[in-house]
Amino acid sequence: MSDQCEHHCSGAHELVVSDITAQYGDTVALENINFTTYCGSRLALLGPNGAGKSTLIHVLTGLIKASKGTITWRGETLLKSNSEIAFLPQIDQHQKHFPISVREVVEMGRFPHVGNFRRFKQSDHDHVENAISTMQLNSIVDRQIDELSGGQKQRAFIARALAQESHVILLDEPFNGLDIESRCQLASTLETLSQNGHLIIASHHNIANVSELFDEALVVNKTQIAFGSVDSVLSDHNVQHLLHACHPAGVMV
Amino acid sequence: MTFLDLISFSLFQRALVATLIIGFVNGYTSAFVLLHRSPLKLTALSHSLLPGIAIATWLVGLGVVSAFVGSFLTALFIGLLTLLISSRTKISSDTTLAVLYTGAFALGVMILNRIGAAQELEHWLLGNIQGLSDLDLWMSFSVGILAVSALTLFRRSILLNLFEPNVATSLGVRTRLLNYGLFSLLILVLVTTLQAVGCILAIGLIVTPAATVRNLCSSARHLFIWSGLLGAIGSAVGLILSYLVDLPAGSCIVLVHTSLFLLSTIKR
Repeated sequence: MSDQCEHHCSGAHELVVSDITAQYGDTVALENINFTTYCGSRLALLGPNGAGKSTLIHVLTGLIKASKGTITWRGETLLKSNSEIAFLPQIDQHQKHFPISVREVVEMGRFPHVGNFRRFKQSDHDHVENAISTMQLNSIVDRQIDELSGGQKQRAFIARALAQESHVILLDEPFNGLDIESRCQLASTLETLSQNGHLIIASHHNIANVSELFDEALVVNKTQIAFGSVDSVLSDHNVQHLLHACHPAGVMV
Repeated sequence: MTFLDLISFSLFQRALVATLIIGFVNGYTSAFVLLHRSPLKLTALSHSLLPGIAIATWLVGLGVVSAFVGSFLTALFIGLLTLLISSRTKISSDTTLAVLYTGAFALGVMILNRIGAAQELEHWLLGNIQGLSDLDLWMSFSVGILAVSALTLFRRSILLNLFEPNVATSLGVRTRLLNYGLFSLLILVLVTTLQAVGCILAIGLIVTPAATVRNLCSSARHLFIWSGLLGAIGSAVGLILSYLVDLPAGSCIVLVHTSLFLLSTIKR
């Protein structure tokens, strides 16, 4: 698998989250989040339901404005959405029965570059075709998105992120609702993307396979509990207590 | 009477032009209504316009501009009140709108009766596409150009926002502004059409063409233009039929579109 990011990303590109607090009205959903991560990493966001994992992803995406703190990407403060940061919501979040093909979904990734009015240039078509090839969607590119399996949809949405020329890919519970084969494929895809220089950040709820899928972990429960390499985080006594209290089998429900 | 006889009548020519314009604009807009999944909300909202027309008739007499302003303000009022109540209570916006529109409709009927203008109710419900004034035509034409241009120029943002609103925001679409703009545009098209051709035909035209095309088309991009064309052609066929069989034009147009929709479900 080859994709565009290897030409742009390097391990020197860093995402710095400093003292982030996010609120819904007067309710504090998340506070005091601090971490720094780099292109080429796969970071798991762990924590029980309602801990603030999705909120953090929404803050990083620009969907929610942090009430306190700053996020800097490649040295610049993020104030709103950024075309280098792609967002993949949970797989069932798009409108059902929407008349749209896989190719049209991937083309949506070009929006930050073409806007409403600019026509697609050859370079835009090239980015779309590369993304389709990279995610091995050629044989299903004209099919309706609703006709696809969960795994195929996830690949189409990752292709959109690649067409966007993103460096950072934020995924909300990407393994949810996938069969075993699709989970393996997705794990392999995320690993390859990180090897090609993308920074992968995903909320995840199965601690049993975190170490296979991710390099780093951030554990939150309204506030930051731990951050570091997966092994060091999971060996933390407080983290073990929190995560295993949620579900003894390792699945946080 | 043959079609060739018909086409030579200036009254028919005028009605045909109006039908083609209103049919195309509403058909084109119906693609957005379908993808936005708001036909029932729009139907409810259309019924809530009656008190606006009634109050305008009461205050300054019935005219194109007064009815337009009254309807537009009422639609905005009911829309905003729906949002306010549903955000402050546990009642959903659908239920709130259903309660408010029935209340508004009843209020409109009451005012029209009180001011001795009950006959306006029939005009409001059924309209008369053959009897449009110049001002009606120009307003339909102007709003039509505005609506079709906006829906075409901002199609990428609109489709992104309809498909995945959060992703649209993350890709830089100004979704809140877009939603308010499109809601206002929808109300504008609805009010203009409604006062020109009546409530039943307005709702029929702003919902049915895209529902028919959707059964035959799997591309959101193509849905708009085909719905516009079907809106225009189906309405013209309905108008011609109405002359040939001597029945009300509005009803004929709606029934042609309903028949086409039913046919499309068989094809599906």
